[in-house]
Amino acid sequence: MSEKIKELGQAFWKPLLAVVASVVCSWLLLTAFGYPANEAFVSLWEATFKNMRVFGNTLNKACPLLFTGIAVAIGNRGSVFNIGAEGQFIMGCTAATWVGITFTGMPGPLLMVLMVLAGALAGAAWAFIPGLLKTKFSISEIITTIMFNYIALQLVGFLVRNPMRDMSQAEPQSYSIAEQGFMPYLIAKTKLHPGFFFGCIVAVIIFVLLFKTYFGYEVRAVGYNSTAAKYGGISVNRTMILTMLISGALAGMGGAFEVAGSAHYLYEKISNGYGYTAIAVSILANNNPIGVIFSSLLFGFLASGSTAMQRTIGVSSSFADIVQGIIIIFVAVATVSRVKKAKKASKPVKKEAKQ
Amino acid sequence: MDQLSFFLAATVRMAIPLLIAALGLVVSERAGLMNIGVEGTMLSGAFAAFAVAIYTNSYWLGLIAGMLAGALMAFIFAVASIKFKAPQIVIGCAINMLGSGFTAVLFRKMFFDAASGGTQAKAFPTVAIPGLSSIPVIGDMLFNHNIIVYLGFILVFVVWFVMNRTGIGTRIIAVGEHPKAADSLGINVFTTRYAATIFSGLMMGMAGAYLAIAQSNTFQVDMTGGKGYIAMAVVVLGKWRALGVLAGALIFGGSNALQMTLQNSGLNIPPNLVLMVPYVVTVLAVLAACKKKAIDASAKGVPYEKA
Repeated sequence: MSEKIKELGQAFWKPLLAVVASVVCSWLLLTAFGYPANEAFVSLWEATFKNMRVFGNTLNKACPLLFTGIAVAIGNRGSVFNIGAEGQFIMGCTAATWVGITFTGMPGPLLMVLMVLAGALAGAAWAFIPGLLKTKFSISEIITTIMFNYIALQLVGFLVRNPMRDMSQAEPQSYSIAEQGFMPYLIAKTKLHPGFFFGCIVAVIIFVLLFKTYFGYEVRAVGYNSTAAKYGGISVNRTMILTMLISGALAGMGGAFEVAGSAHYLYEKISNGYGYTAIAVSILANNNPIGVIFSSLLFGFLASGSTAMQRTIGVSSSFADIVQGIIIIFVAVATVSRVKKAKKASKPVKKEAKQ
Repeated sequence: MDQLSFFLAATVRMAIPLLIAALGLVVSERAGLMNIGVEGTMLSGAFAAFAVAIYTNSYWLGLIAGMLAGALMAFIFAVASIKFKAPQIVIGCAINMLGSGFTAVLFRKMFFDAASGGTQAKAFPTVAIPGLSSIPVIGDMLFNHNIIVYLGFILVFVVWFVMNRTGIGTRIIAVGEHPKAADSLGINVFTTRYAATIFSGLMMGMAGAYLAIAQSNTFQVDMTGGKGYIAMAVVVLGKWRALGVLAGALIFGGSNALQMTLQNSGLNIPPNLVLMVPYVVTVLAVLAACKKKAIDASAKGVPYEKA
């Protein structure tokens, strides 16, 4: 029992330490670049926690990160490194928008469900091809998913400039989805939509799927050692493809919530790099879906805080990328150092045996 | 004729950054390292080259600065993945974020006005090789470029020679194939891997510098636009061999040149669809190459631990 508590403690204090270290690094970097670091942190605070309105916005920013974060997490637990959450998210946005501007006569709740389903389907479809290429032709999913991100981005650029373009707007963007399809705001005077809460439910479902079901065991077995899993009688290819499909569907669903809950129309920069940030979100949470809830919140703060910092002190909002990079490196190094210590403990026995 | 010669010259121009970065990757991947941080490393090189070229007004110093910035990013990767044995793909992602973040923040800080295109660096001039450059078509294609292009072609032979004809190359391959065996023969696995990574960083930095101060004369946020990842695909396509990488880079350069030709052709194709071409070609090319036998390092991505 105490072992388990110890493990749980380790699962928490290492990411926490990484976050603290990255905060210190950020402060030093901001100072080194000649920006007022203290003011930066004040504006970060004010942009995320000051009142219900901004806090609602923060939760909204965390929502796409939560969905894409779970998507990356399940991929990492299996043996697919899904850098394509970005493209799958964008395709989810696209499909949801298409449903929203096509079926305008439908009653609201039905339309919302249909949009989310369409988003999930589009995301899964966008993940299916790299998954197929990986299993059938053993082509690294890293290259293909990235290429599919760029293709998705150009596809949306094409759609919002040509077939879906709303000519009454100056910037290229699609028509708005039907108004009954807008997800309701949960708290008065905020724009908080239910996406984040649905995401939490999804996180729990995926957690149960991964750790309490036979299928989840298969996914993790393939991720841990695919050769051993194969000899254990698990169909590696089938598991990999299913992992990829679920991962893509989750990212696409996140896209649908973004459209139905907050954007209400499609535009080129709808994703803002959520799919890439999702990698940091998932790694900080040690690829645990429940942990992703917390880390997506943290990166949600960072996302809304960094735009505020650009407004107030003029530092580029890409500063968030630096913070993400630092957090990932700290977490990755810290996690491995734990493994090393465990190995060291068993070493003396080995040496004795040799003598 | 003019169209053809424009297309071929553009093919070479677009192939060079992929070629140089991919040559670096060949060395580090065969030493057993999976560095997917090419994009961020190239961006750092591009920015450093641009900034130094502006302040010193010398493109040579810019090139050196770009290469050093690339080496620095590669060094961070090397320390995290070789010394601390952190998962290489994860660290590569972090390198991409750091590269993208640092260059964007510094660019905004140092050249805020340049976002409008005001600040331009002095770029490498075109050096036509006397005599050869006046051959029709081929002259424009091969002998009428800036110096980094020629350097890129020379580097193909340097990397080929070092990897195939020298002890250093054998050592690098041994370390990537079977680090334990290499270690028992007295090859220092760690030093070799560090050196290979830093060499690849220098090359990626050079590729980035080419984008900023040779192909154009300015820096743009995230100007690599996936070229780092395409360079990884070039390595797969070139089967981890220097000459194969040359062929692969020319194919991708060709797809980029095709995209440019289509944009200039006056045909009414939506630009976004045209911009998709290089990425679609990448997927198709990797698919076409996958069946043949390759010589990728067996111990790639696996950190070496001394027993």
